[in-house]
Amino acid sequence: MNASPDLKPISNLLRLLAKDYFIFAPQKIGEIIKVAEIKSASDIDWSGQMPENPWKEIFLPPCERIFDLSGGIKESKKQYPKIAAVGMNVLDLKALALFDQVFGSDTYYRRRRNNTLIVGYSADWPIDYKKFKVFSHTYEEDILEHLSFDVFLAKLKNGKLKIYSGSEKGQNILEASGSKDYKHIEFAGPIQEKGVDKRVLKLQGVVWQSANNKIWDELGKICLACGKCSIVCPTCFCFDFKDNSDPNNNCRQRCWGNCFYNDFSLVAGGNKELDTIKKKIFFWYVHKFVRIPQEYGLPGCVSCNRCTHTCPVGIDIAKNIRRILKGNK
Amino acid sequence: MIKKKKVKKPTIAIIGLTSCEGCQFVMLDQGKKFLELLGRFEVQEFRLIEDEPMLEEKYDLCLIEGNPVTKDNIKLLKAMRERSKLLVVVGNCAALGGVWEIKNYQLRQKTIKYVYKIKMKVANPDIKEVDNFVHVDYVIPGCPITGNEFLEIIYQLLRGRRPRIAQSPVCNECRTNGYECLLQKGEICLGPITLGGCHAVCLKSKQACWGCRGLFEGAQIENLMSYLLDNFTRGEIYRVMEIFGARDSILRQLEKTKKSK
Repeated sequence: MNASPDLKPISNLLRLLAKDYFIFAPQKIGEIIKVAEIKSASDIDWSGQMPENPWKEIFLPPCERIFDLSGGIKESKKQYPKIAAVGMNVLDLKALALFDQVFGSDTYYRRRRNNTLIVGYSADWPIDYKKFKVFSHTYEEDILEHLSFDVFLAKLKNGKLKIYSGSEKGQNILEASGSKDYKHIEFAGPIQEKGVDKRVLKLQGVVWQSANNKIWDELGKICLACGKCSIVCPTCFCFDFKDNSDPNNNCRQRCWGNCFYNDFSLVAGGNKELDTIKKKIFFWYVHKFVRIPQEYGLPGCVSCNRCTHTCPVGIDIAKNIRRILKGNK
Repeated sequence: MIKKKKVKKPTIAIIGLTSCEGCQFVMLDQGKKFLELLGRFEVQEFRLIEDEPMLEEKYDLCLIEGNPVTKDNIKLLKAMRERSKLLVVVGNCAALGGVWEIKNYQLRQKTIKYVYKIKMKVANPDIKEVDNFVHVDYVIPGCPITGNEFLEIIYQLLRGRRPRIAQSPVCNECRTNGYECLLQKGEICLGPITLGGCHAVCLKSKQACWGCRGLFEGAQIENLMSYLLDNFTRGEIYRVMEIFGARDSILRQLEKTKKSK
């Protein structure tokens, strides 16, 4: 089932990408599948399994120079590398759609994003994704139209690839690679025509009303506040600013923030809103399931389950959501 | 021509007490960057590279590396505090006691017999952190300290800022850099309760965190302890905490959080 697809129709495309772009793709390192820069196209893992780390550092690096402070404020002179993200699955593309909404008018994000070519991929669709029923999923056509990608490759059950283009950029590169057999999908905005997904709306209400649920007390007693879930979360986009005084590195940086750390809600005078682990973990769920849907009409959780896999104490997000849905007792 | 008034440079003293002097070598390892930093000071005391140290009247900034183990150490430390406007402790020995604090948790008379096979007169005091003797203004943690963090903190002091290390655990950089989680692998790792900023160098080499940088604000000690106690004995966990002298401060903080509940 996880066999590699027939790559013949895209071999030209991959060759073309390698010439112009730094290719980032899932690859198997030991037993773990990671998103990393690849040296040759044969390194790409086509199994369709969820990579351990998210793609977000391509679009929002862990620490990014915003401007220089040596000799007055000036924008950091920076070359934005041309990156091809090959093999992003549907869930990661959903997270990217959210990033596009959040950082749509952010110059640093836009420059980086404009220099990136997205090649989506799904393996044996949709069998793999059916098991996360508590989250929002519908079928392929409904989804592809609402994802922003340049090229999308769908592996069919017989191992053949179905090729889609999702933008002019994608069409151009497909044409240049000599590929004729592809279908164009016009991006119709991240939200479906019939409005925000009903399940997202249901979760929004249920999670918001769960403040008195026993589950938060229980999680507060086991969570280590290591913040790894937020680091691997493809939709966690909060950031902090850091000003450096060292003349060797005199700049303002934008670094990933993390609501599991006290600094996140620290204000002048030393007060912090999130001072217990129970509050922190509830806050994280509220941001994912209540506030992001409210602000952007999109789910704040794409059900990739990365946080569950990375948690040292085994906090399972799907299990918790199922429990909250069952009843606020 | 207008004569420029010469601004007096602030004075600095870098003092090593009982230690391996590794942290001072981290400073020297910064090479040109360290020389540039020293260029902004008047260096009046740097015992590692000096022949004849002589105490001056006043210092603006005093860096203390190492632990005040001997009586001479304590005397020097107190003298430096009196003469210095700011006293910054550098490295694990000064901040948390260092590896020599292991003997605090053992029977000292037994340990000395094990180390010195022949009977000798050796002072065998309890190891205490610098802040037991004098007031400490800032702490630069780690065994050894992290070079760029050291430069950043000293430059912030030079510019009159109040330096503050971002309060996040070692896990932050460990996970961001994509290292394997040793806690998940089944080892005792103190990463979730230890102050980050070290770029998780130990985890890079698959060495579990032993907490050399000490606790950070917001560390969930109780939860980590109850998680570790499922698979390890209290003794095993304490032994890891003792290596860099973090055990006493961790247990003190644990008591404090339990009481405040």
